[in-house]
Amino acid sequence: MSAPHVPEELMKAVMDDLQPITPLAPVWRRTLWALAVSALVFAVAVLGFGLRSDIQNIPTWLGWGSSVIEFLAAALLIGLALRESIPGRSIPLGSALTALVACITYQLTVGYVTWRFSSGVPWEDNPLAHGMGCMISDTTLAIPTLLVTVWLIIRAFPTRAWMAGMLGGAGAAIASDAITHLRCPVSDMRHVLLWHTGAVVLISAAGALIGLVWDRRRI
Amino acid sequence: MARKDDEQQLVDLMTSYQQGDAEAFTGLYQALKAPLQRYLWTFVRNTTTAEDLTQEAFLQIHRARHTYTSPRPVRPWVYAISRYVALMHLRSKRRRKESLAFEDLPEVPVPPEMDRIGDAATVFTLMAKLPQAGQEVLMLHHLLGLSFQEVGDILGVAPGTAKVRAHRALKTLKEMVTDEGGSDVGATRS
Repeated sequence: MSAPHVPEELMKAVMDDLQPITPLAPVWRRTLWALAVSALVFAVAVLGFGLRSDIQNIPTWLGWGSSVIEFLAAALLIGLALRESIPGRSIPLGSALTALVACITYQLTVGYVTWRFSSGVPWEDNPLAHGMGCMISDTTLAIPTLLVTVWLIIRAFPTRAWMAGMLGGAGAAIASDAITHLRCPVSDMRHVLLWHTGAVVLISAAGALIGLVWDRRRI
Repeated sequence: MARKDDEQQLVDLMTSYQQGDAEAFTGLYQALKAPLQRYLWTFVRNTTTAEDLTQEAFLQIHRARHTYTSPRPVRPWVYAISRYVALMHLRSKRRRKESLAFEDLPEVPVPPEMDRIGDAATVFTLMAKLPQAGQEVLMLHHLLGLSFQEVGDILGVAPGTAKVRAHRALKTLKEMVTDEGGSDVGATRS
């Protein structure tokens, strides 16, 4: 059997754009780029707006320590998103969901343990105002990381853009929550569950939606 | 061993292609066109459409060539892009699967394990009756020779899941041959 001949049209398309290219940087390095943005947001938020009023009641391992671990969890999710965006390196859906649920469980556990150490500002004072403030803050702090992660995803070739977007969104949200943990003075679990975990879910869904919309316009 | 040499050759071609070598692209096309077209046929069951999709897949491979990192295996990367092209095609057109004579498709050798089930004609015709998920793993693992790890990476499932799907599909295929004695082979051809 003779070797197949490359169709003229295909060859022309290839030849029109055949300059040498630099392969994409490894996933870990691209994850660090996204995390660098998160770290910058972290520094600006903490230095610019200060820490929660009851920070002295919370041990360092629980305050700063759990925030660092949350950052690592965010790195894991962003790394999975960037890996998912490379063809042939798809993440099994079960593994992606397990990572997502594990990170949310960690966030809730930290919230609960913090509540045990310091009840902070009472939730009943003005639940809606506190809640909306936290939701807006979480979302705003997540946007820079989300944008960079989405950009890194799009620069690759995600075959399930919705999933890469969801993981990227979750990573950005968890990184944002690592900041909020040091800033939000309301420790009540109802507040944490509704507004902070709600923000994680919302931003993850936004990431998935961005991926979905982008995917529909691609080919 | 031959598979390893083939894979190394693909990696070398891909690396040269990334450096702007047109001949390397031709080499990749010649090495991958037939198996890709076979694989894409499982989605559309139409030789002409499968051929069109193969061209589209190579175009997307060209656009995505920066996402390949040497020395990772080339095949899973290529099949994942092709799969995406096929799914986009099905999504946009919502086309019904059509059956055309398998003889029109490029030759892909049937490995002994599949050959024991029946001749190439029987295998390909009965495979068309399997669910899409089963067909894909059979095509990728049993016919195109990818490992379950690679199949999992392409489909976005765990290697164990790919193995289970392949096992079930192979079992169903064997049952089809036993039950029907291959009597309806050719019934789905147009």
